[in-house]
Amino acid sequence: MKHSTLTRGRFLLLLVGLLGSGFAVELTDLLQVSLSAETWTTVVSLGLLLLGGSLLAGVAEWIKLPHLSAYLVAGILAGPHLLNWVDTASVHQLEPVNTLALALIALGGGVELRISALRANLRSLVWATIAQSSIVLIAASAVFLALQSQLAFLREMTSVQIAAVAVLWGILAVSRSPSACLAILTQTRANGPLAAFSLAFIMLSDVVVLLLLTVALAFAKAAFDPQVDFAWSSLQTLGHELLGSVAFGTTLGLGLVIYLRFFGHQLLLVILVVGFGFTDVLRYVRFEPLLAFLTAGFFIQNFSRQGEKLQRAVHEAGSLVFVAFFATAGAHLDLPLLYGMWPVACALCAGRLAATWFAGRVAARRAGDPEVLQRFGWAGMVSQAGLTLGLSLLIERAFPSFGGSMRSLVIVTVAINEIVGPIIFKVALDRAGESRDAAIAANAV
Amino acid sequence: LILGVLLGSSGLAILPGEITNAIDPLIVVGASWIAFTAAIDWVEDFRNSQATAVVREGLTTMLGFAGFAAALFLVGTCILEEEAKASAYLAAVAAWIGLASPPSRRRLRQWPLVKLGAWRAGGFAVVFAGIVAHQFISTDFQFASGELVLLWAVVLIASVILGATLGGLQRIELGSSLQWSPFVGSSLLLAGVSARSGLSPILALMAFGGAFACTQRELVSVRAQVVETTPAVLAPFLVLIGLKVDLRLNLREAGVVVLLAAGIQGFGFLRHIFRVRVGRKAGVQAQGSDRLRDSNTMARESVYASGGLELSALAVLPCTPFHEWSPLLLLVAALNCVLDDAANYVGRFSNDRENFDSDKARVHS
Repeated sequence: MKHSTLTRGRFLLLLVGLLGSGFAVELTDLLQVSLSAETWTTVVSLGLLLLGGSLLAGVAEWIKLPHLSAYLVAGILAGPHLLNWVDTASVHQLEPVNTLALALIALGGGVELRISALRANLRSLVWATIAQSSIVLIAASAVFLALQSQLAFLREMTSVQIAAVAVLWGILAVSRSPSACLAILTQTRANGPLAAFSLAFIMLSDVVVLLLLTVALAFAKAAFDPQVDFAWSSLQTLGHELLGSVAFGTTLGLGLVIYLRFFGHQLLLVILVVGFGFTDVLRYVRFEPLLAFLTAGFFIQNFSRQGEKLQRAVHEAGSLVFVAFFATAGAHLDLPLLYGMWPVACALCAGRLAATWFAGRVAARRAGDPEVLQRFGWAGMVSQAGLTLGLSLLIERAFPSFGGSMRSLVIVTVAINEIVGPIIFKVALDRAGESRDAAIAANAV
Repeated sequence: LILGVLLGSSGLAILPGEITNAIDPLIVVGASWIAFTAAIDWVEDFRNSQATAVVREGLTTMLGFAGFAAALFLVGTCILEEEAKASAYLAAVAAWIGLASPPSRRRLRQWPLVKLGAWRAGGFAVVFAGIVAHQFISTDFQFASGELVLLWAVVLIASVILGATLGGLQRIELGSSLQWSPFVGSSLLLAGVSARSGLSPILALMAFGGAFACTQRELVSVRAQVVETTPAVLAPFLVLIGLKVDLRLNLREAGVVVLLAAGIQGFGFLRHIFRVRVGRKAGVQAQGSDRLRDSNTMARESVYASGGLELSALAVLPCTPFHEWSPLLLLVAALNCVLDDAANYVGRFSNDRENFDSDKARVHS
């Protein structure tokens, strides 16, 4: 009873807030009294996304959907293709929020990874990595090849080139969304083998995907330009990047441990500085920020006693940053593009989903995992978000001739996986009895 | 502030001009947050059995300042022929900087009649009156511009409604545990909408914060959570203000404004001595609750001690006309803050500092 009252209250606030603010935004436009609109539009946009996302989350909770879906819906509604309260320029201006969010996600992910949990899940993780990387890659590439007649950008290519593009697509299908996983775990406060396994697998799979993509890009370049041989130097660059990121992350982790040990206050400020400042530094020296922050969080959790402090601070900051991050992602969704490519995109997503499910079952059986992992171990691996889009950007830069068209297809499939994936993962956590609500219900019974 | 100046175009120019121009929204975020905190403080003071003193001090200070500033403006407009309006405006804002600066606010605090609680009301009232005055000056005193005034009214009413609704929901659903995202979202939304309409975001956020605070039963607890985040907002805000400060401005004009501001501070000091004497003769003792004093955490004090409220009001001036003066005024306000802080460190044994330190020690213990 109380719950429905609260939801009604939230809904009322949602109406008052959004309609009132939308009215005000429209009114300022109508009267043209804006004196420096560009400067303030970003502030209004961020405010709208935060308010709308967090209030819709209350409604989503009522119908048992993840908060993340509500944030996305809020972004889509307010975005340039529907209400246009947040225009395209504002969406681009909000990109610094993504920088902070990704740093926070990686730091939080690292803090969640405990050596003890990794050791306990080692067998499962190895089998899952092998099965997910191979089966999903092959199946997704096969579906892509089967749909080649529907993809205009493949028509001028030779069969070898099409095969190379299909492999690149397969590797993109192997990538997952650490942010979605962490956001769902934060919301549900899930605790159990499924939560621990999913987080550990997704964080580790990032490294595998980066490695696979680097090798595949080198081969694909050779396929498109016969004069280019397979470049071993690209592997050397990747090695530099990975080792450098781990070294940087360890140093950052050490610095944070010292701060947490001897000062320990104003962690929000520290996280802001680390998130914004160090991401740019890492990009400048061509290291991978996600891996570096992941290492920093991992170091703090496993090699010091300060993990709890950082975990609490990341959770507090995350509750705000996740809303902004996913609502911005929702506003970023290209709905006309989605509308135009939805049949092909749905087929590709369905193929990936089936392959992920099958690979999850195979890996869990081979590893002798408990029943819960055999049934739901694959569920956290459906979501895709920023990492996949980032990788597609790398492909676009490497192959300007078809990279743009392929990226559009990636955007559409990521949009579908971004909406469907979190719902599947939350349902799985609920049914596995690992989410807080499920645990409370079980205790009550 | 100093770090910001060093990093900015006036110092080592590490950050180029385009970046410093792109940080305006972040300044608004900081300024709005400070306004919101100030409004919560004001409501809390009002509740802490200081209502009469708060209202009396607030109103007298506000009306006094408004009359003084209006007189300056009108006299300036009459005496000066060319660019009269701009010069008079500059004089009025200089007066405001002087009266709203941290030393003046501390003197308000020492007035024995209203020693606790109301000192903040005085400072709040000065800032509030200054923003309202600026708001009307910015319309060129064309009050007949009904559309604009109507829009401002709509934004202010929307701020109050949103603050009250959010506060009500917070009270019903979460009690004293603050949920950040709708709260920050509303603040940003109102700040942006008000700025777009030419209304000072500080005013909108004061209205929002006041309405929010009025609906809270456990305001002390809620405010404590807000205050905890204040350093995280205030530190980047002050650095960003430092980045915006331009030391290469016309020093003659800056000197005039500084002198006028210092004169007003001196006037405030005389007023303080006079009132202390009157208070002593009347035999009135300071009254107040320990609860109020103990809740003054360092973070909260720092907003006032560093002139955060005054700076925040000035930082959002570029969204209104007369923006060509805003860098100069910001420079003067920043100088005021830095000099005041430096003076506090030098004169550590002054009465002001002793009172301030004793508050710190009490809070710390």
